Amino acid sequence: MTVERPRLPAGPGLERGPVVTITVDGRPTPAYLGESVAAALMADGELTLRTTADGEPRGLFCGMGVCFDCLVIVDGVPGTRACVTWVREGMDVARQDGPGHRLAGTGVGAEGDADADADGPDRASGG
Amino acid sequence: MAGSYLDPDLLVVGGGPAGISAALAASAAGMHVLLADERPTLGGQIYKQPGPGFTVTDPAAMDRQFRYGRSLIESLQDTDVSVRLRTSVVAVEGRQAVLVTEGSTATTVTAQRMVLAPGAHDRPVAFPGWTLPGVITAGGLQTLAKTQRVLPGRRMLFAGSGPVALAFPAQLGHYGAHIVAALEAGPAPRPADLLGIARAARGNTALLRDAARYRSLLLRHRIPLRYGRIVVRAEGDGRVERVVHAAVDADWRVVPGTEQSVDVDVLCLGYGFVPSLELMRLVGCAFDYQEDLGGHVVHRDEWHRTTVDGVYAAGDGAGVEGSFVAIDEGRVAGLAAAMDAGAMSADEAVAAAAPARHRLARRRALNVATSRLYRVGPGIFELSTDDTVVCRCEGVRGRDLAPAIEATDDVNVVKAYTRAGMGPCQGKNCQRQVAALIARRHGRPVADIAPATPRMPVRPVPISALADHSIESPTLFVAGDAGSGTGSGTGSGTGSDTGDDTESEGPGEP
Repeated sequence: MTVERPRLPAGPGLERGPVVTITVDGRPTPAYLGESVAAALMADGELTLRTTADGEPRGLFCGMGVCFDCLVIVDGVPGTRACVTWVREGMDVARQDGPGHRLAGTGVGAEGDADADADGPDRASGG
Repeated sequence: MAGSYLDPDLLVVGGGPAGISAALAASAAGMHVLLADERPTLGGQIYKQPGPGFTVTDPAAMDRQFRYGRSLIESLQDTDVSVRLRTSVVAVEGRQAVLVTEGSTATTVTAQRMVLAPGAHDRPVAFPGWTLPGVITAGGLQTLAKTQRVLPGRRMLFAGSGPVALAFPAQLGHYGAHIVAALEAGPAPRPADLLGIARAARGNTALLRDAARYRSLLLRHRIPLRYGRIVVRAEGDGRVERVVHAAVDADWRVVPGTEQSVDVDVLCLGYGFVPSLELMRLVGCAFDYQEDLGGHVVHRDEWHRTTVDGVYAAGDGAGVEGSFVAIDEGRVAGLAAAMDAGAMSADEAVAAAAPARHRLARRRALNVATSRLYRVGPGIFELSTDDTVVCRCEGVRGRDLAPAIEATDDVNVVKAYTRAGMGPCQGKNCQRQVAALIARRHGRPVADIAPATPRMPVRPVPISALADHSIESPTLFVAGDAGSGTGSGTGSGTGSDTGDDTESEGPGEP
């Protein structure tokens, strides 16, 4: 199912940021600076952001960083909340399967061992 | 500036209306205030500002909540309050609080007093299909529309209760969403309700005018408002495609034979809000139970002191009553902290707090007048089935919970048996439902079911934020001084770096 018009006009008094290109499941995808990763994916027509270990699809639920249901892999770091991570040029986003595998593509896992990734905290420092 | 970042007179947790207001009052009395908030911009959820990257070209053209928030934030910028954004307070013990700024290591702050203004989140309601993509809380959808200008889906159904059941569908309709219907769980107003509301109108005209405006927006966008109905299940293959709703009685229990099905691609849930309790529970505050204020609500005196010395609570995090109440409560709490610290006399504090107290009394009169309409019915917590995922994080279903609930009435024990509440959300989405299931099975009021014991860190943080990888001492984790020593030492440097970074992205930019 496609959505007709996910992005609204920014509206009177407000302008969007510049367009950046992020990668979603290996595919270059335009997004606007100022959008969360969740907003950028949903604007691209994608409501499923991850699947659980049981194989159930999940998407954005609380939208404010509380529920941890919108977990995606950002620049190799799994378990990143898509709703409170802001896009930046060149960001690599992958929808997440279970605790940290890539949902789409050729079964390539997140780079390295998720738990041992010391660069984790840097994941959302852009903006 | 007196005091320092690591040693403030007052730590304010939360940069929404209550927190900002408390910081302003205390700072005006001469206290050194540190304010921490998780988000990249001040204003909290209610006054959330457009995401960093958006540019406000004409503030006058923005909506009223934006402008209220902007003016509150600007008044903070004229003070010497230290603001740390993207910063979570993950633990509080005694006078010490552990702060983690995104991308940085932990910092331990020693604050003489604390105002906890953590705000609230959407009241979670578990029903079959509530985990499907496309089922989104009102807060989440509003954030997408207001701060990102993105609206997923073409056909939406709104289901909820209380003031948000008017406001949110109206706002979403205003942004261009096609909302097939707005369901209000509560009853339609009767003449007696309207009379009571009219009697309580003094001092509340702005709120009532808002309600009237939302009602007319619903009419203008042809959004039917249907009273006394709730969502009983959502269905679809991989995402929500259909929603089944039904009529309810006064306790919000489904009336058999009233189910209707509607095709939608987004279901928006707005059953009110519940306070974020974890820091108040961690620090040892006493609680009362008032479902209409969000369930377990921190116990406070008339100065918003909690039962823990030096800890105050204000805003929706201390009982959900909205942003106007939050601003006044924050002011009272800030003045109380200043008075208790000796920064102002009791007479000065009483005089300064009087207008805020007066407004709070009037607001509560209105809340009494609307209590019949907005009372949360227990039936809303009786929708989940054996197959329903109750704990979203750990994927725990009704049937997994049943044996544990059969054996015990203790939320902690159910958590240990089933993992419900052990995931990263720390039970925020399942604990109320688990408590309701326990209460029903054991024939006890839900007010008697204590929430699970909170554990630090109350927010998930990378292990690298708490453990300093540059220290290779084998005695690092020996009990004693390791935690505070390494934490504050490394945190002060990186903390200020990140602080500069985040301030440049703050709401002060045009």
